[in-house]
Amino acid sequence: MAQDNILAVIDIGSAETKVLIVDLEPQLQVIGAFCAKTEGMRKGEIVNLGALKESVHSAIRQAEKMAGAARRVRGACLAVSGALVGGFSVTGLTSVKSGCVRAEDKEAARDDAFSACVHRVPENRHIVQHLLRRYLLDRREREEPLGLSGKELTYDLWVIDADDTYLTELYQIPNRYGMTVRGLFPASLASAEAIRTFAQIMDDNRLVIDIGAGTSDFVLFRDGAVVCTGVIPVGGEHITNDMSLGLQISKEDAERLKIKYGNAYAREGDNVFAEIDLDSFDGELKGFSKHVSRYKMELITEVRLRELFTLISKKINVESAFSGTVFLTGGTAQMEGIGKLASSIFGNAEVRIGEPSLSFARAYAEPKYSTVVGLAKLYRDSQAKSAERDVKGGWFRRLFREIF
Amino acid sequence: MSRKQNHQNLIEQMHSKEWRALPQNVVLSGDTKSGKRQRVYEILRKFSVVLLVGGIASLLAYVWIDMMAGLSDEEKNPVAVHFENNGGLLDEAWFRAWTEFDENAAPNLHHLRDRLLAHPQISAARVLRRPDGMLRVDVLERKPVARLEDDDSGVRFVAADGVVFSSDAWAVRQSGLPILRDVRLAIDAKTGFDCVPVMAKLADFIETARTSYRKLFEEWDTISLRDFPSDERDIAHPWSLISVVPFAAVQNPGHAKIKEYVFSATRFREDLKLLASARANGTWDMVLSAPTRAPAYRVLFITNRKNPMKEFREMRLIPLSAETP
Repeated sequence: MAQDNILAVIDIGSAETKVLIVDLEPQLQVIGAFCAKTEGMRKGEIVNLGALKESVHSAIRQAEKMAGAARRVRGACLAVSGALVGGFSVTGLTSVKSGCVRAEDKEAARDDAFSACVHRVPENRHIVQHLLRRYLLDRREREEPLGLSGKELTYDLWVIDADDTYLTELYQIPNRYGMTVRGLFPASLASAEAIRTFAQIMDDNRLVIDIGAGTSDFVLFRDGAVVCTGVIPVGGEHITNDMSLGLQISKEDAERLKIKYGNAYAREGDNVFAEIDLDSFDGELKGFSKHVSRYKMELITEVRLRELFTLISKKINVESAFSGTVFLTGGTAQMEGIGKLASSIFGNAEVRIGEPSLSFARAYAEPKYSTVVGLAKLYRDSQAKSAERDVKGGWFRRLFREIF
Repeated sequence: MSRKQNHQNLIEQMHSKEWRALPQNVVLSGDTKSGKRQRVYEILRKFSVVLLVGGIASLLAYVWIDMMAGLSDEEKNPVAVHFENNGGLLDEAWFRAWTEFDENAAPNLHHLRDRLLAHPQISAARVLRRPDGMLRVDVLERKPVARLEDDDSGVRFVAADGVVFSSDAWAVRQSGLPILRDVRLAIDAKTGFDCVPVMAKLADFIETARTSYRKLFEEWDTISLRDFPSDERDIAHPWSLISVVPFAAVQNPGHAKIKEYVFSATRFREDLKLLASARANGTWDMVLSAPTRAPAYRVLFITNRKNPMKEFREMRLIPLSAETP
């Protein structure tokens, strides 16, 4: 029978769909999981809804079987990503009447920011999440302005929104399976949350990049607070396509080549003449050569990844110059040499490969599970916050809610 | 529009722009049998909760209606009373007379209780209505430990808590109760009745004498409170005294040997023990029959402090001349 504390956490990627069935009570734990190939999605966009539904539903079914036949899941938590997801910043302003910031001033600044946000979000889009970036008191950054002296308080808000059509189509996938969407989070934040414990030894200035198959999500943190998020429609699939075209081989061979020999940093020297024998793959030969140049393959990979990191660097430098640690996660982040390449693009910053290190998902400590593991944690944390608010409702209201 | 309303409106606008505002069309698919089972289970659960709440409400309503009907039926049937006094002297007849009880009218339990407590002889009262309609009255009476004799108001009795009350029932049994003189009456803060201040200590003295030193107690007639404090805080002073006049000194003052016993208000137990011991071992008679005997004596008890390490109580017979009252 369905239980309210059982949730399906679904990350619908361009290449793979990962489903985790989690039990939220008493402690977050994974009771079922499945990973399946995604059909009907390309570069983060839905191209065939029917095929996508089928592939996701079969993954959910398999995950439910692993969780136990008696478990019928009624709620789902999804990640949003792709070109149809965007972010912008809004600010709210208020004058500090008493000269000392009080709770009312904070609330007024926040209301002003919300008012600006409501007017800024277009009609055909809805807000996925809004995050406080920082407070500014007389144009100086303040972590907590309460009690401080000043004249003008600014509330800086980062808003992530998504296209209505995309969201509606996304909802249909779990809805058709009898599930209600209970949580929706940006994939970038979910990945950052999953690897956050791993990053605790580092400072709070970090850039987290989740390089998936179709898209790459990134989020920039400064002093622990989100500065900006974004999605670049470049991922591992592009590298595979480029390799397929450039080396004149099939996509499947290109994919396997990338996984086995992929290197983000083209090595010169003797490697220029090194070749890979495709016969060793037992794959279908598309082209007419049995050997491909290893250097050429690495160069193709480097160019594409360099383009990706450059785009990200340009986007984040618009907000503020980055100095911190770069964390790479996602399936493509496991490629050899990617750290070195990223470091060269991001001003020789330290680059690390992030893996989920949360206790409830030890079996899924691979970069490709970052998003789905982070989603579960984000949902649980949001539930805990709303439970704290509901406590003020009183025992009778809680009892009534519990019964009905 | 107030700031709070503005804030509420803004929050609502934000919620309407969030992803949750988009409608979801959840369709039960996949295993429809389990979906149907789930729906039936949910309906049954809600129905059973409604049934339970409704049942409790009906039961409460039935009890209430029955109680109201019972009260209104009182006009048809007279109310029976069960009066319980735990061995006291007051009875049901007194209760009916004092409260002017009308058995054909619906009794107000609070009024009955307040009326009972308005009598100084009642220290506690409880009035209940039993399910069969009978009225149950439980009272706790005050029992006298001493009496006051006034020229104008006759005999009144003093209970152990100091409250002064009149009682025809106790008037018959008044022998054996010592008379209190030189009493400074006060008003009891709790009950509003006349009371003898610091009566608890005095009652303790009387009770100790009556139970442990019966023979001595039977010789007493009057207890004078001229040196007895009316404030609890003064009890510990060495000049807080209880004076007892024996029966013989009142009846035959010219021939009585002992005019007065003066006990300490705090150390009366030691004093009584000394007196009883002297009476028992012959010392008393020896002193009274000595050749240099005085016509009468006042018995005092003092603390001998010659040896600071070991002070003790002493009994002194102070001789009185024939003219000394």
